[in-house]
Amino acid sequence: MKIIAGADIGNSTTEVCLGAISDNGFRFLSEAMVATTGMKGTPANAKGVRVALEQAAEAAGIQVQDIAVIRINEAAPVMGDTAMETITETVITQSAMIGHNPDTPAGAGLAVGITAGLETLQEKPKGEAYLVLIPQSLSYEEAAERINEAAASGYTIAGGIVQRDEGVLIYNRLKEKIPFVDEVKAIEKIPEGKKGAVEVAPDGQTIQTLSNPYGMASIFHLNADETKSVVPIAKSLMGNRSAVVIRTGGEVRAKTIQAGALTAVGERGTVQIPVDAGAEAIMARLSEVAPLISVTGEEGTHVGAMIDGMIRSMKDVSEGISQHSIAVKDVLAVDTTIPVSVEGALAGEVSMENAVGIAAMVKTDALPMRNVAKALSSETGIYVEVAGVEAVMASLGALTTPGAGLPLVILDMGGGSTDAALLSPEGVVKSIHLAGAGQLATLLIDSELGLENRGLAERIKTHPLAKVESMFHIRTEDGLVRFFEEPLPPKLYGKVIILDEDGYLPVESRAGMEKIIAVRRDIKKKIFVTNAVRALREITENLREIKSIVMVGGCALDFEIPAMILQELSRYGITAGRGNIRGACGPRNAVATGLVMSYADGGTRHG
Amino acid sequence: MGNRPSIEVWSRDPRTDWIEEMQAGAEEEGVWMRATQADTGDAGALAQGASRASPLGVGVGVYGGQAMIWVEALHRFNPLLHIEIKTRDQARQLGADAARYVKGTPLKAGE
Repeated sequence: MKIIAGADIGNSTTEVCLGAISDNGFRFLSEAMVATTGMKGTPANAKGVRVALEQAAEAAGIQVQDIAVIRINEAAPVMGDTAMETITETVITQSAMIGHNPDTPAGAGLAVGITAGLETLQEKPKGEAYLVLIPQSLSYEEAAERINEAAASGYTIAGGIVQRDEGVLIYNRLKEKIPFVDEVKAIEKIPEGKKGAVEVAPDGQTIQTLSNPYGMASIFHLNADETKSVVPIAKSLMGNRSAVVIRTGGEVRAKTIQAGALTAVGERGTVQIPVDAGAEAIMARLSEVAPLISVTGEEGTHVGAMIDGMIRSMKDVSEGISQHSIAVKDVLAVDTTIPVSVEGALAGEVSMENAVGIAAMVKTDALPMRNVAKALSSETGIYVEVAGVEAVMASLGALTTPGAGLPLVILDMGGGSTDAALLSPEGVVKSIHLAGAGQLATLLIDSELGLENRGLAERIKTHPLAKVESMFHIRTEDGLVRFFEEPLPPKLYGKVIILDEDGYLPVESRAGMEKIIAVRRDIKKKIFVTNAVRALREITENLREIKSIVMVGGCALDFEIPAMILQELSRYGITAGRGNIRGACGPRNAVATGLVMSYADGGTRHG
Repeated sequence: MGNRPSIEVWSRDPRTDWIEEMQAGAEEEGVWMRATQADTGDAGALAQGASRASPLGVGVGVYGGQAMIWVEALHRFNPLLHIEIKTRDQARQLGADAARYVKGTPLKAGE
């Protein structure tokens, strides 16, 4: 009996498969998976392979020394990375607006008046309507007392702006009820003596006047040109429960940020694309000059730095064996939004600014797998051969999925790139690598939800959500209720949580559960469905000739992505689904399995 | 006043300003809170009694510089929160958290 090992060294994981050849034929023994050690294509990978072999050997009840030959793949010389460019910015000048949506505003209605500090109101003339400014130096009882006294002595107080979270407390103690906006941290920045308006919408509603340019024109007596200039304020305040607008001479400016340009050299020409044109424009212009030869970013931009970094890393790894220069061969741009603190804000306002998320893929001729083979051989003392192109091995492995047939397309969705290969009945393989995969999805979830926590974003991507409704039960996103014997920790109460294997993680985000789910699904669609379609268009002329599409790789394990892709591709009458390698491994171990199988079969041509 | 469904606060502590702060915290959150002076029991016993007396099933007991929120539904897993009151802001936040529990929204103590 001869024992063969196949080892697939990927960017993030190293997978091995063990098989045994005897007079009775061939059978699979076991498999294992570990994190890749070092960068893919370097001798450091050997250590990870050895650990995986030890695990697989133990599972098969043999020793590592019993292995006759180890086959490693001709790893795809591909690396992916991501970057984000924010392309718009909001600035409030001279405290012209407050739009932060405090938790507990008070009163409902529209109040128009001249701003005046409540402490010094007595110095002001009666006969004007005032919006009183209430700093934290005044307790809520004092504030209410003063307002009641002033009103009784003839002052007209239309509304109030409060520094502390005490709008309701003051409101409840007033003889005459008026609207209040509270939690305005930087109240001292509001100038006195200016005309302003406070609007608070009734429960469950949003403001109607200050989010309408004509509403503001009516209050502040604006002409047509002036009305046009308050449109950014109206836009910023749309959907708010409360707002304050003050005619200070300042304004709200929505600016475009200079985000540099991409230079794309393709077989059909060269084009320069400004990043602030947005993702749709970027993808359209790239396809005008496709197939791409090289894409570079501008110096000083995030995208430029990302591309430079990737090319340098790739050069380090493939030193000396590349015929052609290393270049970015594919880009996926996705429009997204990112919450950004507004400059000049008085109450910690955050605005959803436009951004473009970009994934790029760098490809070179080959990786020096012979170096890895040498290192692995001395590490284990076993004969190692570099066998077979990754795409071919992956396709062979995928074919072991029960129900799969030829022509077969394998869609490998990993962290840095989405790879596809077509295996024809004649045994010919065509492959392609695209930018945009798991890492881009995590980046976009992180930025759109304003998490500033890549680990949390990764977990939101891969786990379903639940809402903690009481100390003893949660309601999962599919509507089912789960009860607990022991109460949940108080710090989870009322929060949206992730159902992680290690426990329940709270999601600290202002977004409710429905919003987080919508963001998660939308991002997955924008990346994986888009790339599945892009990949298919590249590798086949006639979609309807394909019999099976088998999805493998880390993202094929995702609980939503395979279904989304199947939804889109079912229109073409293709069977598409998550692979089940050897009917046992799910979407893992395709390449390693293929390496073992091809030894038994004697190999496959690559066309 | 009267019979509005309220969080009950039973206090043996002479410091009425802390009770006022708790009530302000709950009031700002829009939930009613009623305070009564008590004669016997420690903070835990007071909190338990208060939670039983409250139609919302939430009570606060205050004694000896300690304050705790007791929630009937938690049974033997009480108290929900337990603090040593040193500042008015702490008292304010405890009152707000008792109210937030009733509303089903995340607690300030969980931030």
